[in-house]
Amino acid sequence: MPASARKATFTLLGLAVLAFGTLLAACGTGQTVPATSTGEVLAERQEIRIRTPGEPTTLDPQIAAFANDVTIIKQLFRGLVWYDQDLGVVPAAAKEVPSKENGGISEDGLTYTFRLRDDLVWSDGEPLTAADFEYSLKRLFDPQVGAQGYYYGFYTNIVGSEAYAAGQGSAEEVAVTAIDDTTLEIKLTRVQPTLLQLLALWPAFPIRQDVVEKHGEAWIDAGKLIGNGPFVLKEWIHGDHITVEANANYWGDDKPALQRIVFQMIPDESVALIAYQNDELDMTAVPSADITRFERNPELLKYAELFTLAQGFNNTREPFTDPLVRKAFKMAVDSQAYVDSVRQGAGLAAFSWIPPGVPGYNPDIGADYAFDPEGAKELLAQAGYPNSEGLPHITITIADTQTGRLTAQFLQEQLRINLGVNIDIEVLESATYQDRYLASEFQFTLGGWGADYADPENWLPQVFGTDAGLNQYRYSNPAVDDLFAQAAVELDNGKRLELYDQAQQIIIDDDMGTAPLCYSIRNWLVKPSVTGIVTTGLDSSPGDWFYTKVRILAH
Amino acid sequence: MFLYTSRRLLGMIPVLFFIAVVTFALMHAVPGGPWDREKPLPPQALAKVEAKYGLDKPVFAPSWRVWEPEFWRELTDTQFASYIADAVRGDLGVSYRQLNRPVADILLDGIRISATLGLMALVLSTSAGMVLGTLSALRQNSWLDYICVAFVTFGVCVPNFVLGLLLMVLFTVHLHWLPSSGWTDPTTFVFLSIPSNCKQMVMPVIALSVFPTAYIARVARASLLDVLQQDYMRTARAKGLTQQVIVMRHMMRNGLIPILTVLGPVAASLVTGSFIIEHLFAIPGIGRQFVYSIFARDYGVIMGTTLFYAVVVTVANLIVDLTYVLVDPRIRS
Repeated sequence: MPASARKATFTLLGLAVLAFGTLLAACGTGQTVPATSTGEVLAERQEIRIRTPGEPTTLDPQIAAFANDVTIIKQLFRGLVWYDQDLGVVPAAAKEVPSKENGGISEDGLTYTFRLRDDLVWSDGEPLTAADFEYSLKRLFDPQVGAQGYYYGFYTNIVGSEAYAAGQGSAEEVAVTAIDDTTLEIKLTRVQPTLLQLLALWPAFPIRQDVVEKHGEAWIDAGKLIGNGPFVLKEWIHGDHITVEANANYWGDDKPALQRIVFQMIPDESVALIAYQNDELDMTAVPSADITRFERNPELLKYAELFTLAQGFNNTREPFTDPLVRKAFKMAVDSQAYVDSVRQGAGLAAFSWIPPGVPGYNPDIGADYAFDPEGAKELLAQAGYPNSEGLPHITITIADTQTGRLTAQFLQEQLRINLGVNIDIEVLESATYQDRYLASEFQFTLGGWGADYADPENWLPQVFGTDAGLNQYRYSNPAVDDLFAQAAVELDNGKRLELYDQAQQIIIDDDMGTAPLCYSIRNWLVKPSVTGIVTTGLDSSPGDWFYTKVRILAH
Repeated sequence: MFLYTSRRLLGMIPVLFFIAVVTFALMHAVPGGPWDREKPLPPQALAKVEAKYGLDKPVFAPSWRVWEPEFWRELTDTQFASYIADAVRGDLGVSYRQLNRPVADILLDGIRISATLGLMALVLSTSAGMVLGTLSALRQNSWLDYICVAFVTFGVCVPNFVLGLLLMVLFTVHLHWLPSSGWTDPTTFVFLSIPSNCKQMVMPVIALSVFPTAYIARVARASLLDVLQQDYMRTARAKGLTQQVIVMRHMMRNGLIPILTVLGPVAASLVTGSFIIEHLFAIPGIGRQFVYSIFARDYGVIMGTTLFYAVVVTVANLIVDLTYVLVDPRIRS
């Protein structure tokens, strides 16, 4: 064909290719993420940034105790059992939860046999066997490791554990045995109905023996730590952030939709709020001063945590040796006003010690001591202080926190107005306060309790047993001690809860050993693109037992 | 010069020892210990933990009976003696708050970042302060002088956390120009980290610089005003020298000594980091560790940060003394 025609042809061809190519390109860049079966359209990047107040102390499950640590540990490991959203126990590494019916628990309640799944692997692909659980549980009682921690005392019903922890036994004598690769047997010295709940907690998480032996105390660093959970520790920049990524080798049925979670360390909560509003974070706590501002905000997430705040009396110091005085103090303080004004609605007025959500919660306990200034004045007169005269000097000792100060001021006001009693406030620096508190060197303080696990066994014997380790209130009642002793060996769960209920009635209704003030409700902000948060009362950060259910919607 | 420097550096050793003694004593005199936290350890666990970290040994001395031979034998088995013995070999112990993490690692990680921030703030505040001070002195009692003095007064009075928050509210909340907090890549040092962190550096550097700028400007202004009164300045002007030569060669060199004196401690405090700025802007530097470690009774980190600060101040003062000689030939070491 003639030159001009050839030129024209090539030009036209070129244009055609160009046009076609553009068309192809346009089709190719359309980011179609398929909608899930529920019709949700998920974002391309399944990544969430959560605020954490500071650097974790440790990521070692057998030693960790603080909220920062625990939230992250729960993503990196899975134990024999886990919780469901009502804090019931469900299987995790075990095929099923042992019970008397399926033979997992022996008739006398002293032997637990766990049958593990066949597909358990560590995040690096190595198989996870019962021997790993044996190593980790024994490590919990190792005098150089777990026995220097906070939680091992919950598990000392395991045969041989107490002796080993005290340095008098050996690891071999601890009755946690891997019968074969998928069978683990635990023997107890006495019945403990709460053992299964406790095995869902982090001190019972499995860890890799060879990793610990190779790296020593530095085994928890990113790049060294190996876990069996839905996420792996990708990056730990000390003081700045921790990144966990989805574990490609996760064996569980609850595979995470999230690809990455970044825990951003921002110490100041107001700055964290600014970061959230500037789209640098997806979840953060609402600072206590700002709760009213976010009341009607659709991004607000409110949930109840199992925590009771109370007026803490030293039962061995005047005037709090007299139950009438303690009851008067309870009735003189308007808990609802406390929740409304100081907490700005982030709480519930409390009358019983054990909060709703813990089995054994009884709304009738403490109900006789509702807010009643006249009744309070009368009780005080009966106690020998007519018109509130003759009382010794009373000081409330608190740690230097903002909520602490506001609460103490509130109590001071209420006692002055409703009871005619003037108290002083003594504010101490945090560690100094802890030192004094642990030695019971106070007359009146802000007390309370947060659940380690959801059972009255965690709320009562350690706090109100005579000479119990955490009985800083110096409360003592032999009738209550007796009930605790009975409940500890009671096989029937219903009767056990009944015994604890009777104990709580004596402690609060008869003695008012401590005066509950409010149950805690936490307020967090969550970006609207984040969905699937499931909270429980035992959360350290909201939803941290179930981050595997969280998804990010397209936005 | 070399002898002088060596003598000064050797002189640092007794100073550091004295500081170590005082800090150790104060640390243990204060009520509360590393494990007095909201979750108390069971007593048996506490006993084991204290044995592990040597906290059950006597602090300074087993008793006060110096006439007994046991006293001298047991003197080496005290907390302070163990600390010094380890420290001279480079082992500063471990942290209790960041459990078992070596104090040296914590210091190095933090110093890198605080030094970066501090050096940038130092450069900014020195140049801005000098410029403001010089302009003020040259144009004394003009409107320029009054503006500079007003700024200087503001800078000296406003606390840096107020300033930091104001900057954050303006640049992050209202304008959305800058991120609120953090430090993208804490693992790199000084100018290498500028490309990735520049947005996050802006507010902390400004907040850190305002007070030193004001302070340096004040000192510069006073010193330069004093120099301007001198006879040799009148001579220089009478000789017909240009303004530039008069300012640079005669005024600055003579007026620099007080400014240099001030620069020593200013540089030391900037480089070791500011607790408030680092806490507010969530910057993982060493500055906030000074305060965090005290609240946590983290003995190893308290000692490490205090001794580090002492070293920095001593070295800064030494450098300032050495530069005196360069600036003013009348000073012989």
